[in-house]
Amino acid sequence: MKHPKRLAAAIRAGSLSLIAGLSLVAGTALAQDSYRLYVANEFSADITVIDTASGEVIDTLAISGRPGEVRPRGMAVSPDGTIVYASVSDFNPILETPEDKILAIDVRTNEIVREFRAGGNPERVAVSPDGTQVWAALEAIAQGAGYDAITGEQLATFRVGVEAEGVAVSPDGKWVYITAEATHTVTVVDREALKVVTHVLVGNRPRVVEFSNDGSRAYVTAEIGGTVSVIDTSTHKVIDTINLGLDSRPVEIAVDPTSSLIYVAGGGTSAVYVIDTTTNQIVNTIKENMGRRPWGIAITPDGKTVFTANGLSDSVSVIDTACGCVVKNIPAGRGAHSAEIGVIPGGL
Amino acid sequence: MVSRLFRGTAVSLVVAFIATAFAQYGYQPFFEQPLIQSRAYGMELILVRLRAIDQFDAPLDDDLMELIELIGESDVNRFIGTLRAADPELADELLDEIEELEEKAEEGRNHHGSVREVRELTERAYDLIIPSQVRKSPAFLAALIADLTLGEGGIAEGYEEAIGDEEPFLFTGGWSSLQSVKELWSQLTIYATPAQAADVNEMLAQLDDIYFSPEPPEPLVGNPEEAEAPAQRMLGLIEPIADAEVFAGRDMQALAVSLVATQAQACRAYDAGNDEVGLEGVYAVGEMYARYLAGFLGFMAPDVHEEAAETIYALTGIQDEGAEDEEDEDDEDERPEVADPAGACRELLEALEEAVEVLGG
Repeated sequence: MKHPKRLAAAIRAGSLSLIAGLSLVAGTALAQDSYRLYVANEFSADITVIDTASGEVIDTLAISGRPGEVRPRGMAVSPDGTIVYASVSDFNPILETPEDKILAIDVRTNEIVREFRAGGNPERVAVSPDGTQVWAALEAIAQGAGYDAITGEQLATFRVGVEAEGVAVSPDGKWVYITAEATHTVTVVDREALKVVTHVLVGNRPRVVEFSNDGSRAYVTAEIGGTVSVIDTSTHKVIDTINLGLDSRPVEIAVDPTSSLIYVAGGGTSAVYVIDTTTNQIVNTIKENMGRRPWGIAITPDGKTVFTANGLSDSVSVIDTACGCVVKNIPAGRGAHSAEIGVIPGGL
Repeated sequence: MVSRLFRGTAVSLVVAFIATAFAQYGYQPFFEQPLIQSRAYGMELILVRLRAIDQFDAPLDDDLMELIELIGESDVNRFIGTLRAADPELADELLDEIEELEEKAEEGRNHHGSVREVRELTERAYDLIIPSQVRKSPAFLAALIADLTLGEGGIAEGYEEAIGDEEPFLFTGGWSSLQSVKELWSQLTIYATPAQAADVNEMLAQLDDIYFSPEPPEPLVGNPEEAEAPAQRMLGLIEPIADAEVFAGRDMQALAVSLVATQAQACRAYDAGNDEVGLEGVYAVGEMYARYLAGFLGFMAPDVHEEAAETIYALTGIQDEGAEDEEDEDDEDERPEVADPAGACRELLEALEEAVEVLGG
């Protein structure tokens, strides 16, 4: 999930108010949340953890003892920001080994607190707004699957397009959208009725799907098409196609929780495209000092900082959204793939 | 029933699909000269196979024999009709030498001399049927690079299938495709800025690491998709250098319309009794269909896809990835005989016209 608005709202309504209350009782200042950036590194089979305030690498979580054979890829965060889910699979999708799984990482301790099997090469994951379900795109078997976030019980599976890739749950929890690279489609699942509603043709080789803050739109990147398809979620139809250029190779999307902007990682041009969703126009292209081939992208819940996971330079670029510029590059693991922000309410 | 439902869904949904035919690059070789590209690809494939088998002495493994068989069963069909029209003697000579090569290889005799003969004849054919100004054009070169990268047994697919299907000879084929791509790229470098050239060379170096020798490693294990990322990136880098769009499936509807036109031309050749030229057209169509349309149509309009895919397979032996997977499970279906190729051509044309409708045309 690249959708920190829900995360921000949940924190405001829940843990943060509790902390505020306690702080008032104790007569102390309100504690600030702190953020941690998680970067899944495909080739070193680990996850780099970065303190977003200092820009320092504070931990590296080994995911498998078989780097080069097993890889972490897509990640998602629980609504309260405290658990990061990561999909783990074998490089060889034919293999159905025990490494096909979803991990739950406690943001405060960086410990893997749960893991459950998700056979079929899970590529990306999403969390339902109530935090009770994790959804996965199972690449090798062309399925979308829902799991109980605590027990790991598989709740449902659906046939989707070939080479399932991206997955997102709408902010109201009603829809699950699952992209498929080889059929160029998005499959829409009614999460309550547990049935496939329709399949939507989008741009060529769709990668990632994200919902807008109000859930009225879904944005789908198309890597070969060089586009972002805009889907009206009331009709599940493509209503606009934003052209980023055929060489852009867009992958992950970060939705700014504080504005109408979305940030799109352009792996082909080593750029981040900033799109104003009120006009569906590119308002900025950030290239200077960017790392090479950004695929992953995440934004802090306060909307102030964007991070990209750069697969060819094995690094993270830090973008200050106020200036729309790269302010720092941080080393990550080999083949930095995806990025996600976890939250420690009240900070450490 | 399910198929009809799927198709109905597809038709209704794609009405909203906004075709994204971006004119970012000046040339679209797979749309502008599909038959020329297909013929050239056929000859490039022969050169790729010859280089691969030339790395090994007799007797050749059964696996490598498959590469030789593909020359006579498939590659040459992509251009022999046009070659025969231009130079019937050369066409016959080439077919004879290919047969000679097959015989030598089957009997475990030294095949290197025949390899040289077939190569020389193929190069003569190349000079004859592909105009020299076309051969030098960046768009033509870029499209061939795309063919040898994304096509069946090419750089990306060859590696994936070599590992996934445990077919080591496909590794050798992929290695040889890479050597051809490097030769083609050397003709394109003059159009690249130093930074662009450095980026492409970096991707080629990564592919060189993957295909480190013609001999497949033992055991042949690893990430089947390892070659795909640098190969895809390389093509993305080459497009602006050549000012040519080489991913023909970006606009599937436009591609389907283009395939209908090529297929209609093929059927006219069949109707005129020129089966070899007709078959060339079906190869050009089948290649693009399998590479770019089969996935979507197989999912959204399986009845249309089944008709198209079965006819393409019967006429050419070309299969899309999904059909190959099914065949692996079924232990290889026999390719059916086609009693009436002209009729089959028309059936395929009808299926492609339906595909255009499914895609919103």
